Amino acid sequence: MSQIHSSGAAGSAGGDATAEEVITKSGLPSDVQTVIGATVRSTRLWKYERADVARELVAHFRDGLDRGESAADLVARFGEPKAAGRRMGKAAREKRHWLWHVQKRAGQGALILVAGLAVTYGALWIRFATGSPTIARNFAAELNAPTLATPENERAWTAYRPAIMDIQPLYRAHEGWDNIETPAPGSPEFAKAKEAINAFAPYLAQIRAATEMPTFGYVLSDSFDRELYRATHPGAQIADLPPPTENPRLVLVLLEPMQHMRRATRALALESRLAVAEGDGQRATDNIVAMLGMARHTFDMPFLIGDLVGIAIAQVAWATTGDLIARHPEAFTDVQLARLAQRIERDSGSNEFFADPKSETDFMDDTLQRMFTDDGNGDGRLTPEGMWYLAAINDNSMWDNKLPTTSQLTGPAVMAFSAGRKEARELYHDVLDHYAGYRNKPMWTWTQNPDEHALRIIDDSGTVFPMMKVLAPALGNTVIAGNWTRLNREVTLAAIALEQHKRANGSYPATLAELVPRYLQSLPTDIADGQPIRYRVSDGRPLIYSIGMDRVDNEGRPAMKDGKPVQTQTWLDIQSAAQLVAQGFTATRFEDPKHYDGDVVLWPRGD
Amino acid sequence: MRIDRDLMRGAGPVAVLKLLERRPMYGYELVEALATKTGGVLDMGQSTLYPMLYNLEAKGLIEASWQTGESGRERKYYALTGDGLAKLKEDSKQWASLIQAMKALGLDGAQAIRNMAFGRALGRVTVPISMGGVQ
Repeated sequence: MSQIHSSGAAGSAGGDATAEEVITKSGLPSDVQTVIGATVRSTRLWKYERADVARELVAHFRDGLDRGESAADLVARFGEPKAAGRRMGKAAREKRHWLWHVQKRAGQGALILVAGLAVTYGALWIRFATGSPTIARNFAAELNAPTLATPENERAWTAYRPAIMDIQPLYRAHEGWDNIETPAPGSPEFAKAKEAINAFAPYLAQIRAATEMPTFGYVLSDSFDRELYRATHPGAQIADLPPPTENPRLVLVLLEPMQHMRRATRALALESRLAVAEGDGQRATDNIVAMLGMARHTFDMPFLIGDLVGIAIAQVAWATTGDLIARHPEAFTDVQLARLAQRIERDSGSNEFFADPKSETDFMDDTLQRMFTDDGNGDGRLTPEGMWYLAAINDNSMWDNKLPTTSQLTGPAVMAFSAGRKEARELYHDVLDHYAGYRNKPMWTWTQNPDEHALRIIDDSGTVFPMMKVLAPALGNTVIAGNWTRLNREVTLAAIALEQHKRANGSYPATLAELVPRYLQSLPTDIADGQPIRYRVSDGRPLIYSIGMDRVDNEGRPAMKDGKPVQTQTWLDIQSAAQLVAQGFTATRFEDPKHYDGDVVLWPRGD
Repeated sequence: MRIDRDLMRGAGPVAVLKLLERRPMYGYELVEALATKTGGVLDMGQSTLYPMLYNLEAKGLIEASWQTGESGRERKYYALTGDGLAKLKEDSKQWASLIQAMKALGLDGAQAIRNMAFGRALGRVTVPISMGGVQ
């Protein structure tokens, strides 16, 4: 007897033959081959292991036949092949290398883990999919109630709307009119602007009349105003526009007037410039007053966007006032100057950015009532519609009502980790209170950036609610912009006061303090450092400026960005400002550090 | 007489180790020896024997090797390892003690073991009173 090889080695006594080849070549009776084949197949071993088993069984049956047993007896004594194969396979696998067993155990562990997670996730998915919000309040209806209680003929929007619709073809016919800034009399641009404004005249008169009405009176809806839409989008298929919803999501409420008010503002501003160039101070004043009225109306719109657009319109009115007084002070009579000062005080003075956060909390409460279930105690869990909100806000796809597949799949996990309704609401109010604190605190006293501070509040709260971070930065920028806005308004009043002083005294005062209280109620404060706003008279020309966020007085040398003097700067803390100055405005952590190098000229702005 | 499967699970491996104590043997040889030397009591089907051999090999108690016999036929031979020998000695002692205990209870070896197997199947050791045992 001679040894061929150990069975533990790879390969086989018969070389690389497969189990099937070993069985076929054995020459054993067919019923025996069938039993061996079935047994070997049932082992579910690796190829060379199966060949080894096949050879052993072939040898076994040959020995039996050699001993004179019949094939039928041997097959009968062998037992059931499949069961035998399974047992042999199981036993043979035990002989494998320990690494294989480690892998197997790891695989089984992973499988159990995956199965466990799948069951858990399935349960979570059922909980998520069966969650439905309870829409208890119709916030749009609540916000619309005062408007609907106002007679239609007292609502300014009903007067603006036909004028805005009728002026649309003229806007298109005089393409490029709204890019004309300050045309010089006699220039082709002046002629073009004049032609456009003459064409607009009847409708601008209607708009000016509308600005005198007490309330804006726009009814919130999530459906486009079809007639207005047709006028502004000639050739559009209005049949495809969605119908209004009885209780619309506030996030989908359309604020169509905003864009039209802004465009009409540009037309009024252009007419003011043309009027002054032609020596018509009255027409310029009327248009500026109309712009201020439009700003006041826009402030009536709920939500932060109303404040933002209102401020933007007011800024145009103030800038136009300041610019025209600087260039053509003689165009305005004393009465007109006084009227401008009085209307700036009245129509924009009381409006503070974000002064009334109620509509914002309404917005949030409406969102929460749709995102979460309601347990009756102010709490609830995230629903599929809640996921839609999160997905739509991230993708800016608010008009696509379908919940993306990825959101359907990730929904249960987000639900498991997301804050509940109560926690989300509390955090939102904390963030609003935080911003209100910054709004009420002078900018020069800040020690932190409100946005970064807000993000820390959100992070420190431990509350997981992704919408909060999407929302927070806009509010921070709003608070910063609000500071510059208030300052611009005060400086515009100071510019009027300077002109009034000059007319009364023959020259500009040496200090702004001399204007108070006769021409100016109070002295503007520089938001950069809390000192009186900077004022200089050089060669008989006045200049009002803020030292800017670098806190260095450059005697009115303007900081520049993209070749133009900067009009606002983002807030900087004192240490960063000092560092920026020391490094010659090269710090790379700022996107454009050079735009902090210099002052912010507030009046006159120049070209 | 055939032995119950549960009992065979305990006795079979010891019997195989005992047969291999003298010399290496191949599968059919073991089947034949178990049947003839035990009067058919440990006559196990091949579908029982081969998994048992693989298990013993996996535990390192026996080792396998392909060898060619004088007839020129290839066979897989199984031989006892050192661990296998130690295990056989230990199991032999236990079996001797068990048989002694059964005898003391009035059961002669094979019958006692058979009854024990039934008892285990029922979840308890059952020795018929009629045979002098306790229940």
